Amino acid sequence: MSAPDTVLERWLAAAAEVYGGIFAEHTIGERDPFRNPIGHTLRVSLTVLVREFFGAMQPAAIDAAFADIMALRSIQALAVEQAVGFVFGLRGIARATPAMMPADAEARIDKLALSAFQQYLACRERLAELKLNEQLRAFGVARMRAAHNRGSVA
Amino acid sequence: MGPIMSEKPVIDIALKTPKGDWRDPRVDFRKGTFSYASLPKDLSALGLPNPRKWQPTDLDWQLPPDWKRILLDGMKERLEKYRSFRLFMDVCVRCGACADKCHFYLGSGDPKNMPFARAELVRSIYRRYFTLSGKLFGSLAGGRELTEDVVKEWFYYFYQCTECRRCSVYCPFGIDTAEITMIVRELLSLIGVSTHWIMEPAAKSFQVGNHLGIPPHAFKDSLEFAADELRDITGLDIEIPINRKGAEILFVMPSADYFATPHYYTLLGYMMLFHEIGLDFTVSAYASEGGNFGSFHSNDLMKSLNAKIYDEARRLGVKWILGGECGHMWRVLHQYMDTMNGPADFLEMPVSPITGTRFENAASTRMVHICEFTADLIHHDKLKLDPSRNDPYVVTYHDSCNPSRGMGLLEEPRYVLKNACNNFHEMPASTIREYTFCCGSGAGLGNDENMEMRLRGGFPRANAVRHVREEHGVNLLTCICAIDKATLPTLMDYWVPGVQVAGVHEMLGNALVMTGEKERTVNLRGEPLAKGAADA
Amino acid sequence: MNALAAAAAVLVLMLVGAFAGAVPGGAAAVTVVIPYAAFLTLVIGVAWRVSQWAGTPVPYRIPTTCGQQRSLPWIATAPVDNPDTGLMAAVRVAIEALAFRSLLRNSRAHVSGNRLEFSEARLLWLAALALHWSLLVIVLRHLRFALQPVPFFVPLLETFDGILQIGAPALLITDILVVAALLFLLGRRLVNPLLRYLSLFTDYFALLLLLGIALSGITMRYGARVDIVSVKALVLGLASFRPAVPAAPSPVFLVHLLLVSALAVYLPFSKLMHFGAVFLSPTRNLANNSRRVRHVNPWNHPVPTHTYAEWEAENADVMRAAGLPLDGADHV
Repeated sequence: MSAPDTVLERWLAAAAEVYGGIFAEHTIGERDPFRNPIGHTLRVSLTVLVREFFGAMQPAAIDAAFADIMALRSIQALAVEQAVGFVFGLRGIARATPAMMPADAEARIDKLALSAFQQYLACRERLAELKLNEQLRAFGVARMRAAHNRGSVA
Repeated sequence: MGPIMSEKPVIDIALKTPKGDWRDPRVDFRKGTFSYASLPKDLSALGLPNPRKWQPTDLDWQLPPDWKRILLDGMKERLEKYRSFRLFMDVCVRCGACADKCHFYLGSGDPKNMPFARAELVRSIYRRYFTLSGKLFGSLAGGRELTEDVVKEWFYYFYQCTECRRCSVYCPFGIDTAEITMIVRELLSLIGVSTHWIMEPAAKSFQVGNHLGIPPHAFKDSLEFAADELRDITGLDIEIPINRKGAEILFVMPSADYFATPHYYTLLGYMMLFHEIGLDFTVSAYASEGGNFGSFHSNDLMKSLNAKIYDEARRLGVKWILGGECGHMWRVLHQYMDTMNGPADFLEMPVSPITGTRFENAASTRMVHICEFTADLIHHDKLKLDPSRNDPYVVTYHDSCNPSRGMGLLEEPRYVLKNACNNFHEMPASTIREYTFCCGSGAGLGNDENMEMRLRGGFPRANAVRHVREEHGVNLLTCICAIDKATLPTLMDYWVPGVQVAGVHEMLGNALVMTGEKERTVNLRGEPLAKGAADA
Repeated sequence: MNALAAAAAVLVLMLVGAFAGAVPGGAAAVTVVIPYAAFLTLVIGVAWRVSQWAGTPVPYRIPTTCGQQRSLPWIATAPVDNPDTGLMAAVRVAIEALAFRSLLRNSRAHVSGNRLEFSEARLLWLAALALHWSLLVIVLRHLRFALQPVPFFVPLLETFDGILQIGAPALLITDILVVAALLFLLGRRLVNPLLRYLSLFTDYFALLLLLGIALSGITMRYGARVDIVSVKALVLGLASFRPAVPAAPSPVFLVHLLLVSALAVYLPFSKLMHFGAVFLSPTRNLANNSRRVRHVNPWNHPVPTHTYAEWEAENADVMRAAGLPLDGADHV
């Protein structure tokens, strides 16, 4: 296996760890995107992240990939350190296989971790907004009427 | 390099996994993952037992002193009254076919959301108290003691099932978790354990007539507002008769259609259609709720709320009943209403006054789904449609659980959509029709305190929408369910931004070319029509 | 661990069988007393369970519909997966019972382009099919021992079963299939993470018991040959209620017979009753015609309702003000 492939598989394992031994196994093993959407999302996003880790470290690509992962992990039964902690797993993987790693691996991991935290927080913040919008829609007709009345008075 | 490495340095942070033995009933009521408890006033209004103030996060749920006897007696009674319950308690072989079929398992990774595991939470109690081997061998025979922790676990996990029946499709014995969930919720309600978001609408529906408790005059205002809107859009005077005796047809819709968006645009669509074909119909301020939150609580409450529809049809002297777009409403109307509150011998065989089609499939219940009715109109070429008005939309269709797995209404809405829209794409086959994924908010889970759980449950659906968005540029998710219309927009905003949600009859309303209408410049949402659409 | 406990239980049964011949009265117990008791338990137990299920009412018509309903005549329906008549519902159940239709739904989406995905789910369907059909053929083959004259279809079955014509006695396909299927089903419980999570003692016990029976039977056919004539004499004796304890029964035979007896006793009280349930499941054996034909609930009871008259009385004022029609003369 090439270096990125090895890192991807190990990192996936680290990311899936939070789902608990046997379920982690399933999360990684099942490749059907519709029978295992969690595993699919992890695999697709981590593939991008590994590519960036060995490559150009483009912020947009990194943020987008973490946005997908954190959308999931921020609403699952995980503490913050569980949701984001796997990013630091890369550090362990890097140490175990130093020959494969980019020279500035530590700095790259720090950048990744920062993006992960940002995306996690962004997802948590969106929850409040979702709830508000849902409430607004639930009384959508009353709001439209109010707006309409204001309009006709004016 | 950082600190000293351990021998197997795969991860730095120790990631604890809370997944123990499934027999351990303890659950963590984490904020965002459960619904608040029902209030005493609503239980009292409905005459239900053991009303009290409590919350799931309380250590002491203040269960009645003889709660255990009540639950076991309740189980015994239901084992004798429902073959489904007894059979489903007895026969699971744990083949695992259902394991990865539940949207809550797929979105949460919580193993107790696997359908066989969810059922096992009750089955283990059944074994322990109702089978010889369980009484003798206890846990070796797969039995568990009924404790307060089990009650809490039941509350957590059976209000984490949307009764979508997807597992039942894959089960070689047809074991239906929805059926088990319905019965466990009945059991829990015996000891006063139920949720606010179900019981308050149920109480209002019982007392006032609809979930939000909109009184008759406000109901009228809402519909008049819709008529005003339609005048603005079409230039036509569209009448919406209320409580009109002697009408041919009673039209029943979920109340969200007249108070929430985007449901409201579907209401506009229905009313345009009825006006265009000159339908002799009425709506009712008494039976102003097609939805039935009682069905998320108990069969008795389902029946009690559902009774209004036939009673009102009888009082108004209509010939038959037409029902709007709503999922669980149609589960009740299709599989329960006639048995519970029939026979509907005071009604007549439903016949389309426009095409003359006899709806033989509704010969006994005498209630027809709006999609059946409209598909028949289109098939007989009775409607002039201009699908190009929907050209800004790239449409996909979400089969709502109940019409697909509790009815089989699959082609009718698609037929309407394909005639009303030019751009239509299906989601992957394993996620539509009888395999459809739930919105994750059905069966009374769609409240905002439960948002994180809903987002987990809705993830598999959203994942499939995302697939067609990336593949075909889909930007509109259509459906025929009021809960979908309330909750899918939230789901889309979170998982697949850029996808809007609409009802099938909103699409029809957009495309419908009405006699004497003014030149249409906007769609039902007030958005400008696609360029060139108007002169098509 | 459930799997180990189940293996231990089956092993104990096998040891009891193996040494029964050495104990005075042991052979009589295993060849006569226990089989009678077990057979009786099986018959009464199955009858009791099935009558309990069949006797429990089906208050609502709740088929799980897996295809297009019959509504408008020009829309193609799915007559089997969404049956519209009792007959088609029977066909649905038959396909479910004979071909395990629902397990076949377990297909996978293939995503990784040119990579061939290994589809464990289809294997479950195949293994289940192989197991159940082989068991049926094997049971029918055993009628050779219980009936005199041997029914015509038994030699026929044996001919087809041995069609590979390998070795003497001819290797029987069902013997291979049953063992392979059992090993696969056992293996997947141990390997598949989701199944490992929830497999109970009974899941392993049933598989291991069947495996024990199959292996001891195969041993008698291909390995430690037993005296077929005395076996047939024993079974015929049992069947005609004139049992005779064989002189020196082989230990393998005793193990086989004891395990079969254990299965007979276990079956009515375990998940193995699922063979009866498939015919009685209300989500499968009912037609989806609830709007066309009224389904009656035998215990339908009245519930409180909020009547129109009550509702109008509460809302009369606002209704009058809004110009909505009123029924009650006293409000006008």
